[in-house]
Amino acid sequence: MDEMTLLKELRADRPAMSVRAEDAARARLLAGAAGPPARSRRPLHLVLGLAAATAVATAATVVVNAFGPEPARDYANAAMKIERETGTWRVEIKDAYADPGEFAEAFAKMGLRVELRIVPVSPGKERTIIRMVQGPSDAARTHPDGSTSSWSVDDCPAEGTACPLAMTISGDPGGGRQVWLGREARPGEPYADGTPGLHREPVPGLRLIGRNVRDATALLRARGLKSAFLLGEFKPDGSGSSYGVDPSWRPSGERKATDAWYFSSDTVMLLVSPRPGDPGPTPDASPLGD
Amino acid sequence: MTAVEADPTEVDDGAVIRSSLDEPERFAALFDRYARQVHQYVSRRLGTQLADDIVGETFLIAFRRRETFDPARTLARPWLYGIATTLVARHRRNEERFLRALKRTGADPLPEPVAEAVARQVTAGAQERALAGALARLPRGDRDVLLLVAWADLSYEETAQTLDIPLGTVRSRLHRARRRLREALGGADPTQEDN
Repeated sequence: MDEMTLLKELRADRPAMSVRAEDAARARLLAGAAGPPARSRRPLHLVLGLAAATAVATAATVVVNAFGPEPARDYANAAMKIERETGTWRVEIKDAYADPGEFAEAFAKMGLRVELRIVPVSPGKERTIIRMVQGPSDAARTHPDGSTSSWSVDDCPAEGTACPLAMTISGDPGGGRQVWLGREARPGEPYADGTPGLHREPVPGLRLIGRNVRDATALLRARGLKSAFLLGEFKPDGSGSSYGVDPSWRPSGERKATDAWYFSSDTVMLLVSPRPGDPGPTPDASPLGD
Repeated sequence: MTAVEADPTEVDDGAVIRSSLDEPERFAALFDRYARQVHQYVSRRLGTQLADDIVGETFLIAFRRRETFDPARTLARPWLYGIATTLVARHRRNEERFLRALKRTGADPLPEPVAEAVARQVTAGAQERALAGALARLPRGDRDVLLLVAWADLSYEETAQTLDIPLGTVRSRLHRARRRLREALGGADPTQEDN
């Protein structure tokens, strides 16, 4: 018997994954999927009711009708205020940093299944909806006529004393939705809209893409900016993949930055093509840091 | 109340992952396909209890990173094993300690549920003990390649994808690891061809 045959038999009789362990792992997937996506490189397409991520095998419930029999005409809590008029909902954010659960609660009181997240974005993207994901596939069944809705965020007057973050929803919002609305980022706070694959120079007057890491980081330092790194490759059409590694890892100076974008107000992310010997994806630690 | 079930026509892992971007619940299909396989592999390396934990974490990480999955790939198996192997690496010292104990005592100390442990008091033979000792002494990268091929039944190409290393590195690591196992077993044919 050769060594591979012997090795294949070693510990081959380990017990299979127990049903209890499977259930627990699914529950963990559920809990994590429904949790805050702040560590994600890109926005997660989570939807209200995703809770059922556990569930495909057991066909569990995805959307729960827990919103009461009669939607209110208006509702306010510490986070937001919603007023319903004929065919429209007027939404005004009172606290952009409130727990998303408070937003969800207010929408639910109005009979709407909306998971609103107010996320830090790069300059120019404030007060815009950077992502909208239609909820679980029941939407089409609930609204077989294909009815649609429109979401518009109020402009802010150039010269104004107060300008609340507000939007109007018109039409039929249908099933669950996740909506990401941009707000101004705090200094150093990671942007929710930073993404590789665009191949656009992020810093005016600096050419970073195609430059080696040593020079690129030096140029950024001279501008008072920090560097961070992501491993991956993207084609000109934007397709590709990337992954994060331990934030303390740095590629050698001669390697090329193949893409660059602002990660936060003080940090530029540089994309580097993976090489043998590079670290693998770092579990549970965003490549972009927190 | 509305039920959503996995679409049985989505046989391609890449398609499942892409559809999960808009319908996250579909990601659970990947769990159904691979959780037990990954568990079996990790359980052989670290025992049932750690495997329970690592499988949960593997799929959670995969879900969070599903947008980074290479759309050109149709199989997620290497990707999932890659995450799991990285998590296993956190327990490298435990893994080696278990293997050394198996070599020394002939009893496998892998942690497992009490009921299983009672039923499994099997003493390893001399060859298994020698194998365990050799596995404990292998460099981590060599051991990963060897066990992904032997215990996870990954092809060389899949192993290369899993560890993000060139195919040639897989072959050389495997060749070296197998030679060390043969030496530990007292074998005398270190040049035998890999399959």
